[in-house]
Amino acid sequence: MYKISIVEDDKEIREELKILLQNSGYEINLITDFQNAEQQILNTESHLILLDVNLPQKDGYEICSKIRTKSKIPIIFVTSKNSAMDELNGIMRGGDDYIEKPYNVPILLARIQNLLNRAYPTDEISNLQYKGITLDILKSMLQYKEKEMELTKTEFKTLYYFFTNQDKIVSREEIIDYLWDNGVYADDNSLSVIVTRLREKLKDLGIENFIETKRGQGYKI
Amino acid sequence: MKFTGYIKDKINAILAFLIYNIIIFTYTNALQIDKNVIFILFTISCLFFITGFFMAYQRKRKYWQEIETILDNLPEKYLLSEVMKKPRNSQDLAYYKILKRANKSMLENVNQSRKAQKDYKEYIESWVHEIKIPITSAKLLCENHKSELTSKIDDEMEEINNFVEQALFYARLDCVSNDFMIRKVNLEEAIRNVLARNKKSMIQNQMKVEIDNIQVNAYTDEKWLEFILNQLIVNSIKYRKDKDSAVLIGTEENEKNVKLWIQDNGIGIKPSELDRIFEKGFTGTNGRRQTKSTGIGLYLCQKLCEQLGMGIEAESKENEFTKITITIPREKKIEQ
Repeated sequence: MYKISIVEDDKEIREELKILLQNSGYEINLITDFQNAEQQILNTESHLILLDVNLPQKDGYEICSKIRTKSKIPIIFVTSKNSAMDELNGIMRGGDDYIEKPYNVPILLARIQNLLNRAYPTDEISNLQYKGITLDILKSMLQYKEKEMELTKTEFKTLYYFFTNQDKIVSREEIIDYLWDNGVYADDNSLSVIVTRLREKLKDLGIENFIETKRGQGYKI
Repeated sequence: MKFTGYIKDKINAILAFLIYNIIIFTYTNALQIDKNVIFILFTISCLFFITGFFMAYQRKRKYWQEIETILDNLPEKYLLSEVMKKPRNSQDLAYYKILKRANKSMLENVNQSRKAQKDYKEYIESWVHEIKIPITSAKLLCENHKSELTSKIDDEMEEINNFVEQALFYARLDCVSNDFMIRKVNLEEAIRNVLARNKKSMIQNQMKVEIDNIQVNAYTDEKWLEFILNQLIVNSIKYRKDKDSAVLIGTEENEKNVKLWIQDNGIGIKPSELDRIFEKGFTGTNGRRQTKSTGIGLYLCQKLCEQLGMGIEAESKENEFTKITITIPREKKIEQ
């Protein structure tokens, strides 16, 4: 589990951000003493830092510079200052990314994930499996009993969401929401089309009734 | 300076000279001096007078021409008295001193209002920075406590955020020290960020989004571009039709520019109003139908585009579509 340090002086934001990131599966370390922020962060051995720029005793740029002398830990500046100069300053001091407040939550999570993937690359990409069907993540293919089927980006994303929510009923809204966060701008009608096409492809592989429709609730695999 | 004008100015001197000559003529005539002598004297005095008169005129003309040339080449015309030569002529000197005083007071006023404008801009910047903190917490609270109510509050927060950004960019307009940084921007990323911002209302309103060939780079400021695109997308949502609303986003490239267009199938703009949509405060028929229109969004878009060296134009057919095209340079222009 990745550990993220949050350096933020606004108590409300700090606490809510902690809940949000915990819900997304991260371990959180809150920094409240800004005088020795860099030392505290380095002691906790975090994987990533969300660093506010405007802090009471010193500014985030300074903390960033100090951390950079000792560690290459990914740093994301999170600030409500949004001029080009501020961003440039952040990058010059060794920040890896720069996000403006108020942040869009999916974008924030995606940036964190990207940075973590880049900083700590893992070789193993686990393919997802359910009921004997394999979803090959690298090739974006479906495999079933030696047979293979190619998927479009949209179909893959939809199926990926089903696979990661096994045995759960997922609502149409949830799926559309997930697709939007992943750059597929589906509406209600197009989701129906996607599911129909997926069912056809599954049928070609010899799988029937894999995606069940739960009337008024959504789908389930 | 016109010659006739100069003669008018010097009419007293000319009259005095004529009267003096008439008196001399009458007097010398009474003394019965030889007519030829009188004629020679008269001619000589006329020659002297006319030569002097023309030389004085030439000198004056040269003087004024010099000042005018300086003025023409001076961008800040009110600084004239600082640049022009101190005149030797006592009358000109008097004017020069008056001009200097007037200009000084003007300069003070200009500096004062420049400072006031700068202070105000800085205040707006810091105010925007401050207000974004509670907006951020409120949005996070909504995100962590999802319900129908918080979802609605979140919508309102997004709207507040949009207005706050408008204020920020408005304050940044017409400012000498520009807060932008032109660099290579991936248009797809900018578009996806803007769509992510408007995800909720677009899903709620069942808007279709089609994007085509947007994997393109261009030179602009990312934040400014995203602000502009956001205004356009918000408009497409606001002025949609009730059914089957859709937004099409695409690009076209030529040698110099990338044309990025956003087209919706909304209520469109009346032909008579199309030319005016980028005017400040113009709300039009559609704007008046919608209570929340301020007539600032598109005005800001156009102004920001101007500063970034981009073009923006609109096409529309009432009840059919609105298409806004932004022209973005493909290469970094060398700043002068």
